[in-house]
Amino acid sequence: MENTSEIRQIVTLYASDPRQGFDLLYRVFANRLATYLRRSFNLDSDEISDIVHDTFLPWVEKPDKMKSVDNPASYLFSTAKYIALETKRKMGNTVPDVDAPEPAFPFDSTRIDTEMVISEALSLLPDEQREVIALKIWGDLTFEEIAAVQQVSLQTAASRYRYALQKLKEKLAWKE
Amino acid sequence: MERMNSENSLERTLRNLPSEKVPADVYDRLQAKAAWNRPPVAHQRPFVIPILILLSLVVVFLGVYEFMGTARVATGNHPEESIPATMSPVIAWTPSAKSETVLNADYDPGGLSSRVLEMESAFEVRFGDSPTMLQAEIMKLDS
Repeated sequence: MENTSEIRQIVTLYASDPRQGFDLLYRVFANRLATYLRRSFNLDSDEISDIVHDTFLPWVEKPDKMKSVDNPASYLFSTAKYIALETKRKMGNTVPDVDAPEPAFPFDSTRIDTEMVISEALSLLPDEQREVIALKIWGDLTFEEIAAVQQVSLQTAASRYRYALQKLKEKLAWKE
Repeated sequence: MERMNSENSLERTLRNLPSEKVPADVYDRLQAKAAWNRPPVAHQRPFVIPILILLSLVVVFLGVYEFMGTARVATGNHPEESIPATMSPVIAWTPSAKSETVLNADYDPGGLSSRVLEMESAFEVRFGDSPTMLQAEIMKLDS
């Protein structure tokens, strides 16, 4: 799989040259992490920036320690999830807002409607279902990596994803 | 098949939604803290802190020692040998029985009576006198 070879390339490069390895790591995962945080936790842009920064910080400060990480993808998303949950806890808000988040880029009105409708439908899903969709679709993680982030079995991660998609389709009244 | 198609089309739609973009300053902030961008002088630091700690301990120990010496002098309860050379206690000389015997006018084997008489008087070491001054006084008495 392309994802696996990409991970292997990052791990190999980071072990030999942390500076270049970090650049590749950041290029591959920074925006993915940000989108996952937006869709899963409905955080604002400043909070997302801070969480992304804190997530990558050990990789620049302690490269010798981070070289031992086998799978940067699940490690990064697990770290980001933990920090996001802490952020939400400190804010005193464990339930995501129902309001749709503001769009990242300006685009035409039809897309804005779709974005808003989907965001609203996502916010109505249970936390773990919304998260599994965010990890799979926007994080582009494998089910094995998703299982590591959510700390469930591979089968649970896969079935949770299928069930979440089905519920989302129902909420959107999705037509083939 | 239809179900799979609808899930795939939904997945496609979800993937095509705009993704979040991290601001450029996040990368800059990270690079500013990167280990590979730190100055090389950090290598000398590991020795500085232990030396500072050691010096602090020495200063504290000396301070405690000085304080203990002052406390002993104030209570007057100390053996002679524990007094530091720099400090001079106030000692009250108490004439011993032996000196009384020596004071007997009939008993003056070595012409010591005069010396003894001088010694019998209160022998005080003035505060601030050093041992060398004490020694000089004793030698003066002996001569």
